[in-house]
Amino acid sequence: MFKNEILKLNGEKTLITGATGGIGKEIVKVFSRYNQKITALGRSIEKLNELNDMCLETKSIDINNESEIKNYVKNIEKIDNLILCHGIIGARPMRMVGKSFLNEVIQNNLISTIDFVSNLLRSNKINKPGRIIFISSVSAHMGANNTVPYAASKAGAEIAFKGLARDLLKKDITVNSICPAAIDTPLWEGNIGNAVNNIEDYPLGLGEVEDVANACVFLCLNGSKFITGESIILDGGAVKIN
Amino acid sequence: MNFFDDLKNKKILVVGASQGIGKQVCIQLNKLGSKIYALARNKQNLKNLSEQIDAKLLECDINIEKQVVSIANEIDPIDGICFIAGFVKLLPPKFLMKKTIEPQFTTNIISPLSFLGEFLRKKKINDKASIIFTSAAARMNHPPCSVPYASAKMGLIGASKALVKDLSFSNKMRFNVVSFDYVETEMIKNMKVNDKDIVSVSPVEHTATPYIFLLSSRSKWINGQIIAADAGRMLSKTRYV
Repeated sequence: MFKNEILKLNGEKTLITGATGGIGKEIVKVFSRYNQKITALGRSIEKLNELNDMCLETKSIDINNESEIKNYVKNIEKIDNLILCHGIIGARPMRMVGKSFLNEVIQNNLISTIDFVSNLLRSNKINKPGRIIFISSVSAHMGANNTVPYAASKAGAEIAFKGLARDLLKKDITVNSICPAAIDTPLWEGNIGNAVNNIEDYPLGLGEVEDVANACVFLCLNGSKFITGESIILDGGAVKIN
Repeated sequence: MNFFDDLKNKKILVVGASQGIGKQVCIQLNKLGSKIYALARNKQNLKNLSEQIDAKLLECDINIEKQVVSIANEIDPIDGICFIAGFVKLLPPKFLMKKTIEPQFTTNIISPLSFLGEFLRKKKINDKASIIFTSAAARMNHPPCSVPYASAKMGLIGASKALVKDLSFSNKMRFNVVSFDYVETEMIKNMKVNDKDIVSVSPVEHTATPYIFLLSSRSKWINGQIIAADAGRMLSKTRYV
């Protein structure tokens, strides 16, 4: 039966957090092209309205708000694929990293992410077979300039999800991370000059948001059932081999 | 809408196409409408394959240089190569000898690399091509008695990363490695699978997915990487990157 289906997307419902960001928006676009019913979460109502045509539902919600998230998750329908691409980049030199900034980044990128997934699992909202994809960053694997809190939060979440991958091994839910290097998104524009941005290091040029979305589709295919606990590094061959 | 529609009419060479993983890759590529060049040693197996799919058959042993040269002379320039041919023989450390190590090194690393070299010399690989090697145990957790196999397969990871430096800047080629755990094929029929962590031996049908993805331009920014489809069995070990 699955012989013909292995190149099709798993299930039909996808929940995407941080859908208003550059990467999130592209994932919504690509997934809607393959007939997925999408629930898009984000903060800005105006930006969510732009996504209305492509989504089954959009919801303005702050992922850091514990009680709001708890109530929201209790009332949603079951989903098949979960894509976590919310987060703040927070590139700042070390001498400007105070405790409040550190808290903010860790809270956004690490604690809220894990809390959200745990809420979903607690109320049994992820179907089997299911897919969880976390959008991490190459800075979680290598030192990049001025990314101390960001790297800590992304690396923390990434390894946490490897633990989760192991927990969910026999439940037919795969957990993977995608680690892009320098991608052209609005988040990057303000941060050029801070991290992995020497374009000459990139044999295939800078990445596009589409590349991240396509990697998400790949991990959500029926045939990717045996890929779990993986970090897929997207860098065009630039970063990891230096 | 088909996610892999760009693979239509692409010329893909599959080395080790007649059985197991290679056969699955051919079957999926055939469905997507690629032009397949199926290369294998066994004539009968190739014939059986051609009954199922539409492919150009190339009978060749990649360990024999003369045959590789003649294939490289005849073939049209191609857009992608999957190296899937492999050979494993379990060998306790006491039996490590030149004559027992060499066959596994030849098939698993020396032949694929010299094959690639021959194709590059003859300019038979198009720019932006995707080259995929098949490794094993990308998370460095090797089964016992697999010294020659493990070292040869790990060598492919280094080779792909070095090739990125040579050919990605100039010719925009991509080199990646796919690695598996135990897959239901003829090759592991005689191996004992005995591991508590293992979810199940992966059915061979699923193994085609990473190849198809890496061959297609959907993965155009993935280069020099390893994709491990091992059902998380080797999760606890650090990945070799």
